[in-house]
Amino acid sequence: MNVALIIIILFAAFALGIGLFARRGKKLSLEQWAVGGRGFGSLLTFLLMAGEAFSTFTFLGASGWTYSKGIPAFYILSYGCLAYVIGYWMLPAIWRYSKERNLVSFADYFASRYESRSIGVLVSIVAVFAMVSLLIIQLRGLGIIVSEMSYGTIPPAVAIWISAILMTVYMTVSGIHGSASIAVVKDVLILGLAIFLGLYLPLHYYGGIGAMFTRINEVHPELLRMPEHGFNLSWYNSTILLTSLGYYLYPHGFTAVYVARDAKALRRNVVMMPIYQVLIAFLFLVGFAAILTVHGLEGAQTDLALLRLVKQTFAPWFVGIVGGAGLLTALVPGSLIMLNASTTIARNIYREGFAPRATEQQVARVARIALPLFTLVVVYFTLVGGATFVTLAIFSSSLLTQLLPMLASSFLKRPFGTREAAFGGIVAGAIVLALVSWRGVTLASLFPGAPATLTSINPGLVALFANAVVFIAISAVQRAVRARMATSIEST
Amino acid sequence: MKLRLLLAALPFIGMYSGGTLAEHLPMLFGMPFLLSWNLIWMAGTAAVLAFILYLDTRDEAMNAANQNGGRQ
Repeated sequence: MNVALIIIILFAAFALGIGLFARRGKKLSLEQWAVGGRGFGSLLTFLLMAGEAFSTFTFLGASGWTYSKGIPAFYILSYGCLAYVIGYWMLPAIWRYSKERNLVSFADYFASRYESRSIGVLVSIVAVFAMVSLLIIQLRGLGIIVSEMSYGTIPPAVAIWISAILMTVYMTVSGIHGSASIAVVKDVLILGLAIFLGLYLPLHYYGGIGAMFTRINEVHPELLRMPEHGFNLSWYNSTILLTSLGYYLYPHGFTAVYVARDAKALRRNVVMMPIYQVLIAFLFLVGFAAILTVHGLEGAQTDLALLRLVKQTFAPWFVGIVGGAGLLTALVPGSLIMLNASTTIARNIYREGFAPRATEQQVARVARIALPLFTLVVVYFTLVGGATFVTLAIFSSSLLTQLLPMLASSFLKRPFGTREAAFGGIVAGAIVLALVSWRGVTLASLFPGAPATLTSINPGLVALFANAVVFIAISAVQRAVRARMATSIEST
Repeated sequence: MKLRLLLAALPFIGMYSGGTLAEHLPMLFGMPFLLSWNLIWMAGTAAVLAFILYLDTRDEAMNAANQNGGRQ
C-alpha cells in the first residue's frame, strides 16, 4: 500500500463521515431530504450550484481538451458567464413558481407549467436517461482518477463500486444535506489545487506562463490558433450559444435552484459564479503545461493529461491529495444526480404513472428505495459498457437542451406555447439529434458545397432551431384556430 | 429596465467578439488572446451583474419605503 492510496482512503472516509453527520437531528420529509426544506442561504446555494457545475468534466476535461485541442477549449470559460447573465432573471422566476407549488423534481416544473401529466412523464423519462449518462461520466472519471492516483493498486472497477456505495449510503441517510456539506470541503480544496497547479507547473517546467506560451508557439503553433475546419470559430461561437442556453437544463442543476431560501440568495449566487470560473482558466494552464511534458496520450486518454503531469512532477503524498480532491469532485455532482433521479422516479414516474393516491411518506419511501437501485443500474452500465445503451443515454442528455423553447415560453407573462407544440418541438429536435447520432448526418454531408463557417455549426444548435420553429408554428396555428372558433361561436 | 438589458448585453458582445478579434491578434499579456479576453470578460460579467443587483436592491428598497409611506 502506498502513501497516495492511504490519503485517498482517508478522503473517502472523511467524505462518508461528514455526509452522515450532515443530517444532525433533522426529521427528513421528502422536501427536507431532496431540497433541504428550501432553507439554504446564499453560500450553501452557491456551493451546491458550483458543485454541480464543476465536476470531473471540469477537473479532467478542461485540462484534457486544452492538451489535445488548444484554443477551442476556451469555450468552457465563456458559456458559464453568459448562462449566469440569463440566470440572473431566470432562476428567481423558477424559484418563486416552484416554492408556491412545492415542486421538488425537475419534471414537476414542466408538468405544472403546462398542466399536463404526460409532459411530466415525458420529461421525467428523458431526465432519468440523461442522468444515467451523467452519472456514468462521473463514475468513469472517478474510476480513472482513483486507479491512476493509486499507481494502479486499485483497479477502476473497484473504485467505482466503493464510491457508488459511499454515495448511496450518505445520500440515503442525509439527502441533500450530505452533498452540501461535502461541497464546502471540495470547493475549497479544488480551488486551492487548481490555482497552485496552474501557477506552479508552467513555472517549474518553462520558467513562467509567458515563457510556456512562447515555447508552445515554437513547437505546436497550431494549438494556439483556431483551426480552419472542425473545431473552428463557428463551432466555438455556436457551442457557446448552445451550452449557455442549455446550462440550467440539467435536472440536478435546475433543482439546485429549489434549495434557496429566497430569490435574493440566487441573484447573489449568479453574481459570484463568474468569478469562480477563474478556476477553469488555471486548469487550462495545467493542460498547456502538459502539451510539451506529457507524451503519448491519444483519443480518450487525453483526459489523463492533468493526472499524468501531477504524477511525474510531485511526491506520492501530493498525488494522493490530488486524487482525493478528484474523488470529491465526482462525489458531489454524482450524489446530486442520484438524488434527483430517485425523486423523479418516485414522484413523476411512480406516483404520476402508477399510484396517483400515494401519500408523501410512501413517495419518500419509494425515492429512498429507488436511489440504490438506480445506482446499481448505472454502475452496471459503467462497468459493462453496452454501446447502444450508452449512445441512448448521451442522446437523452443532449435532448435535455431541447426543453429550452418550452422553458422560455413559460416565463412569458402570457405563455405562448401549448403542450402539443412542446411535444412537437421536442420530437423535431430529437429527430435531428437522432440523425446526427445514429446516421452520422452532418451539415457538411447535407450541404457539401457550403463554407466551413456554416458546416461547423454545432449540430445541437441546429436541432434546437428546428425545435423552436416547430414549437412556434404549432402554437401559432393552435392559437389562430382557437381564436377563429371563439369568434364563430360568438357570431352564432 | 432598459439600462439593465443594455448592461446584460455587454457580456454577450464581449464573449462573442473574442473569437473574431483573436484571428487578428493572437496574443495578449503573454497569453493566447482569447484566454486573456475571456478572463477580462469573466470579471466584466461579474461586475455587470453586481451593478444590476445593486440597482435592483436599491429600487426594491425604494419601493418598499414608498409603500410603507403610503400606508402611514
